[in-house]
Amino acid sequence: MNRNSSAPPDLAEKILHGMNNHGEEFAVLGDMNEEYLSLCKKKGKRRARIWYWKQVLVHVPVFIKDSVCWSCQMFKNYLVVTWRNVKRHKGFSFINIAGLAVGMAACLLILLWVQDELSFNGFHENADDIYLAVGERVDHRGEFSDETPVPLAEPLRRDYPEIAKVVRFQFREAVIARFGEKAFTDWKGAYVDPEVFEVFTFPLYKGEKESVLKDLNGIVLTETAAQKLFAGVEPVGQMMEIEGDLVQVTGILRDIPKNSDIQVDYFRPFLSMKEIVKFRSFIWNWFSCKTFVALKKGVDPALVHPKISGLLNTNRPWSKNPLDVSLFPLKNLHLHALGGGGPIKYIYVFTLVAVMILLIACINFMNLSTAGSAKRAKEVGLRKVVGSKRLQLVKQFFMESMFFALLSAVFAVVLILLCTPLFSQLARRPLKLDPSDAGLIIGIIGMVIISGIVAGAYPALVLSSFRPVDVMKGNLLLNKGRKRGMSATGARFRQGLVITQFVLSIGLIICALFVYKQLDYMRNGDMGFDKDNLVRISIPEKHKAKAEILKTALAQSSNIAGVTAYSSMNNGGAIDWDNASGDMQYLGTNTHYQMVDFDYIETHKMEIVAGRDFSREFPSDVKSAYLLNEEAVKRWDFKDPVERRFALNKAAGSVVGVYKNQHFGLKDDIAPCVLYLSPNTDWDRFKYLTARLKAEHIPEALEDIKRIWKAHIADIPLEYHFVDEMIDALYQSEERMSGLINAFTVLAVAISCLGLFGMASFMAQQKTKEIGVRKVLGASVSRVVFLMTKETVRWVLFANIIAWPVAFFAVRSWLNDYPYRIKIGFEIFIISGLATLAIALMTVIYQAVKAALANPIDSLRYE
Amino acid sequence: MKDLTSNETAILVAILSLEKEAYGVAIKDYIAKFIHKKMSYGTLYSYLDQLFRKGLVFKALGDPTPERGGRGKIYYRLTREGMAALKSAYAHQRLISERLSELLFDKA
Repeated sequence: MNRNSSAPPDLAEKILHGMNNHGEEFAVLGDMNEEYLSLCKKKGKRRARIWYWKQVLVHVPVFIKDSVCWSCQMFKNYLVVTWRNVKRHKGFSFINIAGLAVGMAACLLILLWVQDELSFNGFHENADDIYLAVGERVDHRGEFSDETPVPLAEPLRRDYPEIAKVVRFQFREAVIARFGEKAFTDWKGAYVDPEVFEVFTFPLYKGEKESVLKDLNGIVLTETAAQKLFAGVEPVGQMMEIEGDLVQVTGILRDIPKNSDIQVDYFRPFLSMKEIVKFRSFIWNWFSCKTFVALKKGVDPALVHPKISGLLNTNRPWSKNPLDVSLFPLKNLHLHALGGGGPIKYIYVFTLVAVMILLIACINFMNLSTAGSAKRAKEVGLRKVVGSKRLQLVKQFFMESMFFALLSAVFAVVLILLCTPLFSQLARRPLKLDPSDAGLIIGIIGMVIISGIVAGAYPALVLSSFRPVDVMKGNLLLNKGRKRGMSATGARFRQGLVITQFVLSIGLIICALFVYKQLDYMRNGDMGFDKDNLVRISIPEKHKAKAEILKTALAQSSNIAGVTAYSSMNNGGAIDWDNASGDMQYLGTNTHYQMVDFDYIETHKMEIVAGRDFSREFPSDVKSAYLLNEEAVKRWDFKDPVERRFALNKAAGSVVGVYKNQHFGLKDDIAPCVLYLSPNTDWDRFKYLTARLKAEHIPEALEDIKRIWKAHIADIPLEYHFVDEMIDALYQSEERMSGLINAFTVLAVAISCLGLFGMASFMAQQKTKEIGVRKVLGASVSRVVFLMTKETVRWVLFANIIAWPVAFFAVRSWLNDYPYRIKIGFEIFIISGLATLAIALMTVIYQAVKAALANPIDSLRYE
Repeated sequence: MKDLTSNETAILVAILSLEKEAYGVAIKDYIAKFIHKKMSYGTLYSYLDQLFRKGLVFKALGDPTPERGGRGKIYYRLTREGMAALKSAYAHQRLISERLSELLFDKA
């Protein structure tokens, strides 16, 4: 370890050196050296070394304590100074903190929402091993069916050891529940296999997991549902009526957590479903239930796929439509569509937006701090003169920015608490801050640290680089060819920051506008029928015979312009044409067919583009007429559809007309559709009545409807919906996105303006002398204002140039997902650009005018 | 002017006594030998700095020697104020000593 065997230990010396940094440490080291040597002579090298080390080590704790004490002292000083600064420049500091706080709040809110969405369906204990069995068309890859035939569960349970359990769900909506005097018509429930509670973690709190659904007469209610129906009476053991069946309550569930796609009021045993009993022989044909598969722990679904993929085909040998069975993870159900894509893309978009907003806020902070640094110049100069090292100054300013970040975070949390109700409304889900959520706390702390560092790095470096000479002489603001801060390059960097802010803001504005336009188009574009003032009423199974009577009664009302009755939409089916081959052509899971009446086209004000509507003048229409929509004709390539022979599910007839596509909202691709007048499937019946109300008499019309309903159907309350409202309801996720994007665009723009405001005031300061001189030389106020604002204009224009292409690509790729989309027009880009310019100018104009009006005497006085 | 603490007095005495040879090692040894106090270099030098700041000693830089690994010594000398302080310290101590000896030994 020694270069010279009689020198004191190297390492120990170095440590000693490190602990003394006052410039005169050579004296101590020299003394130690001398004594070491004399000790070597007197007591030998070993004793000497021990002594030396002892001396060094004994002082380490003292040294540490001193450093810490001094650091604390300095820290106190920095805190005091920071606080004084904040107080002295209240406005400035407020803008800074506010900007950062808003940015943090926005970022956190989005991330909270994202976290919530990602957690959907994850609360089940076995969530990682639960999958949905789905079928994929072999010849039309990408077309999936999330519902599978009821009997699929049998072979899955029986033949595959990798599969632990299988649970089927069959959902029901608008269910009637009755107990004593109370009745509800809007219950949602599901028929489930009894193993449901062993596979899924639904919070059963009264009743045994294994046996609660064994009894076919049993029903398990959620707490709220039970409360609504039984109010105070102990529900377990009671008899109640559901869907017309008499059942006994065997268990109670605590309410299902909000982040579950499966939301029901009750569960009933799967085998109690009446259709199971009724349609035994048809069940492989009927894709009607959701079959969930729980694999044994840790089994890879990919291993199971090849084994089960043929299950549907082997059991449906008659089908011309082979389907592969595969397993889709439960956790992906909420955000990933079966064929790929799905709302998950919104998650990415929003996370990006969150980061962007935080970035804008940090950029703001950087800019404002640096811009305001002229005020701190004297302090920095003085500190350096008194002996502060650059590192200490950097530490000081970092600490300051951390302090700001922390303060902002506190405000951010307060803001979030205030905004949670508003945000929950926008996001359509209740969102709350859980203080015990460790992830949340870590997230906030992380955010504070990151923003503190990112936002504080640049100002710390700039501020600590001032030379005391420049400060004292007042040369700070001149370009003396220095590298940072006030020099030309520094200014350019700051301009770059402002431009980045504007690019982000402009981008957001453009996207927000396009989203709004697309949404509007989807909701209000031409849908092939008139959706205003249409009311749809559902006719309960029990009273299906009364459909005709109700229709006639309603049609007689003077407040109602027309009524039509129709069945629910059927999917799939088989057609054959030409009858020559006698072969059935399978239409695909996406073909719709529906039983309607003569007035369907009329009442909906749809358009016939070829042939004719159904008409009472042609009595044969009832049995053999078909109406096809344009899409059907296109897809099946019917050259001459009118009067073509056509058969649906073996019911032979011919096409009498083609109608313009009827869209329910322009969100999805239109499917081919076939309309007919008499029942084609076993369950075709008139399930809905749709009435067009006269616009001037809507309340009266509703009264009529209620009256007529009550007259014919006493025991079941009326349920009606406005068709346009139903269509709007389809756009929940788009609406949500639109609302959120709008809110955040406003935020981003606000934050950018804050930043611009700060920059403008700094520039105004910088140019005071220049303006003074100009005014003395004869410049007018407007000329000065022009000079001050032309920079801003340049920046905004430049930001536009960058933002437009980026926004264009982003919007185009989003719109590509929609089969019906708006054209990407130039107007929106120009509007955004102009709007941003206007906002920017407004922000800057105050400072510019103030500076231009200043008295040159004041600004030139200090020369 | 504040009174000197006993450590400070000890150091000043050592410096006075060592005349031209008053530097780190020598002062430390002197105090250890004649005043029976074991001071570490850390303590010693912080006192020396303090005395210097109070204006009671001068500092002078000496030549480097090989025994010190090529580093120089810092020699200390009393200033006039230092001398005065020592004298007044001596006077005080004498008073105290006299009183004490009366109390402690005359009784016996």
